[in-house]
Amino acid sequence: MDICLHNKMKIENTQSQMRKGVLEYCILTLTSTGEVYASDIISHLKDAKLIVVEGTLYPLLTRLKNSGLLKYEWKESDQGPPRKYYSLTEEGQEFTNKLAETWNELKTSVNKITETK
Amino acid sequence: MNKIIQINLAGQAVSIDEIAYQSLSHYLQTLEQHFANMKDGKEILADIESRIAELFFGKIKKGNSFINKQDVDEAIKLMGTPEDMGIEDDEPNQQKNYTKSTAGRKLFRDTEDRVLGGVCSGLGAYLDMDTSLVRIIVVLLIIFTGIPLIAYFVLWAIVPEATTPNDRFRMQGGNTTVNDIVNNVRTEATDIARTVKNEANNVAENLKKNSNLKQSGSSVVNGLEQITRFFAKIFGAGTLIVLVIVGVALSIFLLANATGGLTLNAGDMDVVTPSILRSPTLNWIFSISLLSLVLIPIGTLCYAIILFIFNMDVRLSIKAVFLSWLLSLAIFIGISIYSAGDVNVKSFKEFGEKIRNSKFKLGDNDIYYDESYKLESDTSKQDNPNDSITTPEIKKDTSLAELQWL
Repeated sequence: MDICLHNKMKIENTQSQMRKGVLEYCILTLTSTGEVYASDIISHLKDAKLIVVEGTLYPLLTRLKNSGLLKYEWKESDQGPPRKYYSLTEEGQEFTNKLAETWNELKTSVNKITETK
Repeated sequence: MNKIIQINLAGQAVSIDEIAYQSLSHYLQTLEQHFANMKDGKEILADIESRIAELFFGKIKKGNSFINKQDVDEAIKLMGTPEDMGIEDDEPNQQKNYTKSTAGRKLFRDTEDRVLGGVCSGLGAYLDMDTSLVRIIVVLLIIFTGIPLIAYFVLWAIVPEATTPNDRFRMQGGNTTVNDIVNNVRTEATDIARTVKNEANNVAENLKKNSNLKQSGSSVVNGLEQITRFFAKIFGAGTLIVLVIVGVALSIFLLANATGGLTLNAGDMDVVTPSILRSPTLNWIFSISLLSLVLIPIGTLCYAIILFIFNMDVRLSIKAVFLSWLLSLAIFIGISIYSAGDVNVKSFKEFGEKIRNSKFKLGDNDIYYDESYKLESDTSKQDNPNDSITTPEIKKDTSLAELQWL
């Protein structure tokens, strides 16, 4: 019942650290389906409860783009300003594949530990 | 009733009521401060703005005729606070920088508290000084030197009026520091380096794929444009320096002429530059009008260059500049015609001679001698018929001249 504030903050911190690690991988995976618009990525991430607000995504997308993993193309939109549609670069594809491997390994390891507990 | 205004958000025209606009611009400003020291801050901000514009577009499409406070609040809730956007920051020292950067205070004319154009009250807000104090100082300076008179009209012409609540906010906002400007330039430079690198990567990749040639072409153009802009800015800075030097030199010369001559040190005796016209009053009007005639275009050009270099929004009332320039032109022409016969040819000749042979023979233009010279020169100035008439005025001028240049 009464988790003290300090512990609550600690949990939140750890949670956000955990999310942070997988968020990049999730964004890359979502982008690997082809050309996607930022708010499509957002709705998926929101469904999965990985992020709460849209603002979180934009700095991430920009960083991934600038490190050469993502690229984008402008497309006219009938719902306002032109949109950026993101897709993976070749490098990004390789990167995602490697992350997928790591994730699977991690998943197995973590499952092993939590199940045998 | 709340006023509806048109704003430009990510290239989209948006009708929004004033209260909603205030909270939107406050939000965007907070984000701007938050991202100010991040390498990709500008781009992220543009993405967010563009998304908000899209959300608003949806509202309008649903039948709202304008965006109200509720729509803005919804959008803000959806986008999140700056803290939400910072979670991916790996560089721990950036957190400190956020708090360091403050909203830039901007110089506006405060037309809600004005006597003439609101320049003084705007300056007061900018300098954090009491408006009455600014006014008193300006009036005193105008009475004693006349200099702020031109400055006032120039500022009236080029300083934008604070029209929106946002303007008023920025007028009174935080402290502008040199740091902000330096940061601005720095992000600009890294932006360019980054773009060049990215575009090069893109082009290479696209060529490999042999597709998307059209897009890669436009990217190259984009990169080139940025580089060109950068060099244009360097060139602009050079021009600015030259213009400022020319402007300052001209100002010194003409103001000296207006207020009583510039004392040059020639050998062991000071030589005073000649005044262009004999009558001190005419001479004053002549110099000031010529000064504004020259300084208005130079100043405008400098201002435009500064705006360009620091990517600021151009808010220049060309009409007002042109009108004040025409005014000074009219005064200049008028005074030139009126006082064509009053040109102090002799004083110029004497001045030239004095400089050439450094004989220290004193000319007939005795406006500028202080008392000690006067005793020595009394013998050599029998040829000035105006002397007795102009003496009272001359004395006043002498003290002023000393005040300013000695």
